[in-house]
Amino acid sequence: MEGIRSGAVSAHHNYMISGMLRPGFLVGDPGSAKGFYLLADFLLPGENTPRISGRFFDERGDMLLELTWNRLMLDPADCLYRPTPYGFHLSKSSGEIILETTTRRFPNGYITSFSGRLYDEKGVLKLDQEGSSARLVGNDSIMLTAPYQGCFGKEKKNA
Amino acid sequence: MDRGTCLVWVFGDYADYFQNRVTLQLIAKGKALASELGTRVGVVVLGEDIGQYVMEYVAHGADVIYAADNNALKDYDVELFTAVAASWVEIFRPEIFLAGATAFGRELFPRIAKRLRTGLSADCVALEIDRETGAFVQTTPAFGGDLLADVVTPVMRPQMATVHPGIFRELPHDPFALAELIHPPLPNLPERKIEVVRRRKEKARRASLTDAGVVIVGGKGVGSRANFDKLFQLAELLGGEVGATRPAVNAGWAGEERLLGQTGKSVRPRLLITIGTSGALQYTAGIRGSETVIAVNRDHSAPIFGLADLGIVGDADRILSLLIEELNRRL
Amino acid sequence: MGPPQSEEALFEAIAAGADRGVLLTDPCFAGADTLATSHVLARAISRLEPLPSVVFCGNNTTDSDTGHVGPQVAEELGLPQVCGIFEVQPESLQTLLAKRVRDGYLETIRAACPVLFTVKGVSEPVLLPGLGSLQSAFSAGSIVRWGRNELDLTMDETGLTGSATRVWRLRAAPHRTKGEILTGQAHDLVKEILKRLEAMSLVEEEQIHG
Repeated sequence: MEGIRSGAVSAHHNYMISGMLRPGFLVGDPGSAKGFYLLADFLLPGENTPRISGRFFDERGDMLLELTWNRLMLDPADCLYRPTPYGFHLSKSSGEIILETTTRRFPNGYITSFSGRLYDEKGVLKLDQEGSSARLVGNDSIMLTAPYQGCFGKEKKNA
Repeated sequence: MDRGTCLVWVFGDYADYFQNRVTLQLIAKGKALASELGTRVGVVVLGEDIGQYVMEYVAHGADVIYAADNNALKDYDVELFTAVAASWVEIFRPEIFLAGATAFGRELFPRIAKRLRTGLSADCVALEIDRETGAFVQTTPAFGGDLLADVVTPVMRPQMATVHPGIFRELPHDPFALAELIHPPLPNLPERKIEVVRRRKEKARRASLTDAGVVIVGGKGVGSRANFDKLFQLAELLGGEVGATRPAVNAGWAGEERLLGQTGKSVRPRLLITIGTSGALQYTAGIRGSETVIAVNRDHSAPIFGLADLGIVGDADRILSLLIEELNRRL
Repeated sequence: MGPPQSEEALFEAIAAGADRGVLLTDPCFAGADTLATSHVLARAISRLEPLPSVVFCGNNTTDSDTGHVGPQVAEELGLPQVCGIFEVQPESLQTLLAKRVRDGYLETIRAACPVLFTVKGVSEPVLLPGLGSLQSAFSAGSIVRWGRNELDLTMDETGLTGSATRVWRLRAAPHRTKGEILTGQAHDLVKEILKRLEAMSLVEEEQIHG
């Protein structure tokens, strides 16, 4: 229907992205060997730290880093991962922010928001910043209503 | 998640959330009604930065959330909320729309009902689907509470009702719950014409009587103005407010603003202690919503005892004085 | 709005200071729910000359306690509403400041005219009509009566046919189950009361010393 945005929302934890709460979302294919992806995984009750994975590039399409479940696995551009009281902070060696997460805690639940800009391997903008909120560019994201069960590029190679 | 219709709606009144749980109670009842009707229950949430309330409603049973998270809706406003709610009702056409009978709900819902030209029943004490006719029956107190009126809205939709807090019981919090989230488009919003200029915490006796969790009431049997004043001590010790019957007001022991009953206020406290009151219908009409009633009267055949959970036959002043003494001892 | 004898209420109002009274009365107005009632009232108000800048409504009547009529009249007239006020003062030529208590907060509210208020918590009338003024109000003939025709309303818009709700059934309220009734020494009776208060966690249980 015209003008209606719809999705899903979890009682326990949601990401705030593109102006909507989402229990989890995925852009791109974590199973690909080299391409961009961003995975914000679905959290089960008991888990209160968001699990972020992805392969991020700069505006020229040069690879910055690969993150798997919040851990830097590949870091060709000498980026910095720093935990913060409310999440984590990824920055280039120049200090420029790549991605920052902030998780707000409520009496019975959590909401995680993002700030930063992400580009894919062609230098196309995939995550944009509008004021204080982050927006996914394009319509190709998938919503997750359960923890991600797929495999990651590395595993595929080894399979 | 189930797709399918969502035809039972609840207005999400999140002001004073955690104390004010009426929306959660209505979600539970709405879910039961929806189940009988083969549909789902949805909650309308309007405001800014409302994510935590949306998640609370999901955890307490909402199947669908209709939300607008927008700076223009930051504070409650009857005209703005009427515009949004009425426009969404026209898009989705729910069968039933419920709201808590909070101060805001009671002035918002009639406006929405009028805009939609539909029926609204107030302060319902029961909501049922009639087995035989399938009609949605809304039960409200009538004639001072001595009768119950079963009201129906035969033709117009949605069938709207407000419900007092405490009538229904909320479902337990379920962190595993998931719901469908819908952001319908906003209609053109009217300008805000009402502005709250100042807001400060106020223990004004006028209103807090009707909100009080403990109410101590004095009637003619209290005996004198000096005795009546002791009710205030008792109220202070129990964190409550003082009410009066018409004879006590007429005797000059209390002001009209403390009058309870048909021509006065209605109270719904957790505990009501009614002292020296005979139990005339004009008075008891205002106290029927009390959870627990303790009555003290010298006359064991006084009608008030028909309403009391604990009846004490004794001298009002004596009991009052001893009770205050005991409570002071325990401080 | 009411049967012809409701005129008395209007005479009292005039004796208390109102300039004129309008009685809305017609057999077909009877049996109306708040939807139909507010429609008749709104139509009447829209016919007043001049149009009012402020409309005041009460919250309950002897037979209805919904508090709905005010907001529904405001909606039909397209007026903003402020409900539950106990005081109002003019602030400027076009704005008023009203006060109300809501959820334990004292609120001061600014409203631009035209506006509708519902009033709650004002117990003393400002002017008490004396017998003399009542009599002169009665003889002054300052009340007009408007029925369906004067308001250009069709039968379908009023009364039961203009209502959206119907009372399907009236039944007796279930009796509260009677609790125990105790007699005895005042001290023992007070002990029983305290036991009940303890059970409700309203008082601390007695600490036994020594």
